[in-house]
This record gives sequence, structure tokens and C-alpha cells, in this order.
Amino acid sequence: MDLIAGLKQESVIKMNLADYCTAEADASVKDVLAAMNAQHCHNALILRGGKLAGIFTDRDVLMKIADNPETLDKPVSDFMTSEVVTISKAATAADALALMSLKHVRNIPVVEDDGSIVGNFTHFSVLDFLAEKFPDVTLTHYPNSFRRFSRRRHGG
Amino acid sequence: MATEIKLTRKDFMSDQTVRWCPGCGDYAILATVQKTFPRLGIPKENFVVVSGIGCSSRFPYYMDTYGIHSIHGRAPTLATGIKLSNPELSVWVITGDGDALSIGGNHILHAGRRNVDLNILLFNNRIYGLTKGQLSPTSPVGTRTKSSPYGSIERPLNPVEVALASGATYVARTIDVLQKEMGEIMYQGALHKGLSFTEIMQNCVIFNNGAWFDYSDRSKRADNDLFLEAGKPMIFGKNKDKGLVHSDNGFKVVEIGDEYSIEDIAVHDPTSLDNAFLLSQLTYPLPLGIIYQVTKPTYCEGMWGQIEQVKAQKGVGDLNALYRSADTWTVVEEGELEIKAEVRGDVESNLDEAYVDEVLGREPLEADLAEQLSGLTLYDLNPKAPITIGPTARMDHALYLMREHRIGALLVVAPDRHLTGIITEVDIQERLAGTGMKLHDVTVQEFMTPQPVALPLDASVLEAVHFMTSKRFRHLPVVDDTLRPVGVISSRDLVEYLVKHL
Ligand SMILES: Cc1ncc(C[n+]2csc(CCOP(=O)(O)OP(=O)(O)O)c2C)c(N)n1
Ligand code: SF4
Ligand SMILES: [Mg+2]
Repeated sequence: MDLIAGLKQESVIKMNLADYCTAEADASVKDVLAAMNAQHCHNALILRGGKLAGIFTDRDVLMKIADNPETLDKPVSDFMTSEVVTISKAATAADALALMSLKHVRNIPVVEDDGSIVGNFTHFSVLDFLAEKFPDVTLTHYPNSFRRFSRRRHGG
Repeated sequence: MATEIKLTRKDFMSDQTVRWCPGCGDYAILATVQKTFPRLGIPKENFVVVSGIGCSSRFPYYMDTYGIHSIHGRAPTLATGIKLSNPELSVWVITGDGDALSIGGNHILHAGRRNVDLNILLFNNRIYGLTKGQLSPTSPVGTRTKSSPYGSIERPLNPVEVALASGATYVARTIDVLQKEMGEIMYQGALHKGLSFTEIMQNCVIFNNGAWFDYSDRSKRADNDLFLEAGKPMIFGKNKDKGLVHSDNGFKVVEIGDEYSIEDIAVHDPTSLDNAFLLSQLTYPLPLGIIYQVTKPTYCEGMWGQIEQVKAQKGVGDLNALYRSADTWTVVEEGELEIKAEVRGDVESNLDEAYVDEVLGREPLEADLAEQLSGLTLYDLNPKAPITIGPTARMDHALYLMREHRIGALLVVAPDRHLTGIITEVDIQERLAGTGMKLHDVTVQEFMTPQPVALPLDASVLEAVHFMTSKRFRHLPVVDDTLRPVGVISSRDLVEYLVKHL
């Protein structure tokens, strides 16, 4: 079995999907940021009339918001990416991954037939899949080389 | 035809500003050396002055000769190498009591026992001058210094005794204030074939003023100093009315008069080691001058003699051939060790049945995958070059870099280029955006996450998987042995690589 073969056999909703938070399109950037921080999310799915209208991520914050305080009171819809790449929950994990590299995105919301959101497929979903397949060598594997740097606590 | 070499003191004075304290005894020693060198008839370019570390060891800067201000305590080793490679040179070692007898104690001993043809001048001020007045190995018991606030409890070394014990073939002692005598001792030392060792009692006017006053002060010198002359009776005192006679345990001081006549006074024999050791023990009177001098084969003679002899027998050597001769071997990679184990008894029956079923039912190929995975290192992954920033840069610059390179993580490196922090887009979302922080007023080091987890290039890919899955790090810095960043890997890089290669 290779990794791709494994991902082909796995339905995307069986994967570990990332948390996300939602916000209304006319919410202010400030409020959306507050919600993201409160929920420890790095992306917000933006809804308009109950439908997915865009996505706003930490990358948008870096590129457009961080040094522009005047953006904070504007609606998040001005800064979100409106073209959201989603995938049906019927797809396989391999499909999701292929879509990810095709569209060069880091988050793919997984949606039900009716458009409601199940979760967010990210690269972590794949890594978690791998880790679960090989818990002995990934999750419980004590990182040897890291020992040399064990004083270094915090992460990136 | 050899032309006579005419040099003067001026020829040995460098253009460097002398940085000893006003009144330091080192000035008088410098002047004496500069006056003695021209007397030796040696071409200027054949003098080399090598020193260690200390006030005294600044000496080579002030001499207009070749010289090395070398490593603490190691001047004798450098000097040995210099002398050995070019025996024509007149090699002088300038050292202090700390330099020669603390850190350099070992090297002094070997220079002595090898009888290397060097001239060692040990400036003994009984203190570490340069480092501002700590105890040295020649400080007397009870000396109070910054490093011995309640008085030294260490018995001091006696440099003359150490030199004698080491096998030096010329051992002398003098005082900084006695320029004429000092010059003569240096001159004789330079003429001596083999190691000449001279202790110069030197006054450190700042940290140990007056350490030698009993012997150097005009009012006391005549009474307390014994000026040795080979073959002459050892007499001293203002009126030359005291002398040394042999007694059961060493020398005894006597008055010349009714009981002892000048005939009874012991005669100085610099070739007698016993005599020299006894003299080294005296503090009243203090023997000055050439205490010991004998002739023995020198290290250079021995070494070059041996080289010539072997060359005559075996011809000129070939270093390259020597390297490639016997005792070399090629290291071959060892194969996997075969582990032979024996399992006794019924292991399976003790295990959970469901688990056993699962294990037995596992697709065997998964094991292959695991094995493949564990063989992969970050090196195989070929991490992207890191984008770095200095800790004192401003955050607006950090932001500029991240945007310009479209990256989610910036590595912060210290001036010596080792990894000291990381800034990620997550940090910017969580701690910067919307806080009203003025980017230009905040430095990178104030904002960064210090000392992030980093992995070496030879770490297993599994370790990266471990950190990303368990800590949710989206970026991992990759560093070399000295903690300098060589790359950065993102969760995207890792997944794309794994999908392609597994
Ligand atoms: C490896 C090392 N250890 C310690 C020191 C600190 N140090 C500098 S000079 C010195 C001692 C100097 O004493 P001495 O040789 O008596 O020279 P002086 O300054 O008295 O002439 C020491 C310990 C150093 N420079 N390097
Ligand atoms: S500290 Fe002492 S030994 Fe050093 S230069 Fe000053 S007086 Fe001389
Ligand atoms: Mg000293």
C-alpha cells in the first residue's frame, strides 16, 4: 500500500477535519478576528444568507489587515476570498488532496449535499491520517533528534 | 664575509603606545631587553618574542621584532615550534607568574626537561595583573585578593625551584630595578646553549605594590640581597660582612669576624644542582644572579641530529607515502545486524483477542510503508531555504518580508546566525492584528516566539510528522549542528513530499 492508495480508500469525512469558525459577511474584521482568536481558529468561513460566501484566513490577516488598523471596522467580505474551493463529503481524501494542490489552497471545507459544512480539510488531515495508521512510529515515537534541542520549548 | 651588525636600542623600539600603568616594573624590563638585544650581534630579523596572556605578555607589541602574543600559558609551545623549525632564531618567551605557573604550568615543565634553546623571562609580580589583582601561584600564604578575600591558604610555587626541578640548564633571578644586573643575566642567558630561565621580580604598582620591597628598595637591597658570582664566596651586607656557610641543613648566615673568616664562606658553584636547590630555598639573603648553569644536549640538536641520522640510513622521507602506508583501512558500511531471538511459551494466548486479530489482519504492506518512512530524513525532503531576520529589526520589516516572499514563517537569527526565534502568521493573527500595536515601534525579538522547536537535517521525517500532528506546528525550522537554520518545512511541503514518495 502506498499513501495515495490509502487516501483513495478513505472517505474525506473520515479524516480528521480542522475546526473552523463562521461569521456573517457583513461582520466587521475586528469581530471576526475576535471570534477566530476566541475559538483558536486560523480561518473563518464567511456566510451570507446561510450560504458559504467566502473564507478568511490568517494569511489574509497577514497580507491585508495586520498593519492597516483602518480595515478593522470594515466588513470582512471586503477582505475574504470569495471563491471558496469546497468538496463534497462523498469524495475521498485523495480527491481532497489533489484539489488542494490543483487550486493551491490550504483549507478545503467539506460540505454536505445541502451545502452545510462538515469540517475543514487541511494538510494536517493527511498527517493525522498517517499518524493514526502508524501510531507506534509517529505519535508515540519519541523524537530523538529533538532531544538536542529540548530546551527549546515553543513551537512555530 | 660576515659583516658586523650594528644595532641600537632604538632599533628594537616599536611604534606602539605602551599600555602598562605608570610606574609598572615592566617598563624597566622592556628597556633592558631593548638594550640587551643589540649587544648580541644577531640580525634583527632573527629575533622572535613570544608571549602568553597577561600585562607582561603585551611585551611583543613593544618590541620591533617578530613576535606572537599567543595563547594563555602556551608561549613555550609556540616558541618550541619556532625554534625547532628554524634553529637560527633567537627565541624569547615572555610570561607572567600566572601565565607560566597557573595555566601554563605544564608547558613550562616540558620546555625545561627538553632543554629547548629558548630564553624564558618570567615576570613575577605575585599577582594576576591584567585581570585586576587576583591570587597567583606565587602569592604568599595569607595574601588577600579579590579571589582570596580571607587570605590565601595555598602554598606558593617558587619559580626558581620549579625551573630547577624541570631540568632547565640555566636558572637565574633578578629584580626589575636592577637594570644593569638584569641586562647581564639576559645577555648570559642568550649566550647559553639550552633553556635559559630567568625569574624577574617585578613590581605591580597597582595591585601588588611593594611585593618585593625588602629586596628592591634602596635602603634594604644591600642587607637582603646576595649577588652571586661563580667561584666567589657568597657574601652580602652593606659592609660585605655577612656570608653563607654550609651547615647540616643547607646554608647558614654568619657574620664574618672572630668566628668565621672569609675563607670559611661557601663559594658559589653554579654547576652544582644541590647548591642551586639550597639557594632556591633562601629568602634571607635572597640569591640573585645565575643560580645554576650547566651544559646539556639541547632539544634542537637532538631532533635535528636524529633527523639527519635517519635520513642517512633510510634516505629522505616521503610524507605522502607515509600517510598511505600501513595502518590505513577503508570503512565499509555494515549490513543490518541479524537478530536471533527465541520465543518460548505461548505468547499469543495472553493477548487481547481482538488485538491479535487486528494485528494478524493488518495489510502487510503497511509495514513496508512504516519501514520506508522511518528511513527518510529531512535531508531527503530537501527543505526550502529559510527567510531570516535579525532580532533587532522592526516588525514592519518582518511583515514586509513575509508578504514579499509569501511565507507563513520567518526565522529569527542572532548575530552569530543561530536560530533564536520564529514569527508565524498565526502569531500575527493572534497577537498583532487588531491590537493597535505600532509595527515600527516593536522589535522582532519583542514579538517572536523565542527558541522554537527545531530539527536537524538528519532527523527522521517521522519526527516532523510527530511535531506537526501533536503540536499543530505548521512550520518547523531545520538547523545544522551549530543551531544555524538551513531550512524550513511546512505541513504542505511534508504532505506533498510524502504523497509523492510513499
Ligand atoms: C584561557 C584563559 N583563562 C583565563 C584568562 C584570564 N587571564 C588573563 S591574564 C590572566 C593571568 C595573568 O597573570 P600573569 O601571568 O601573572 O600576568 P600579569 O598580568 O601579572 O603580568 C588570566 C587568568 C584568559 N585570558 N584566558
Ligand atoms: S596592572 Fe600591575 S602589572 Fe599590569 S601594567 Fe599595571 S602595574 Fe603593571
Ligand atoms: Mg603576574
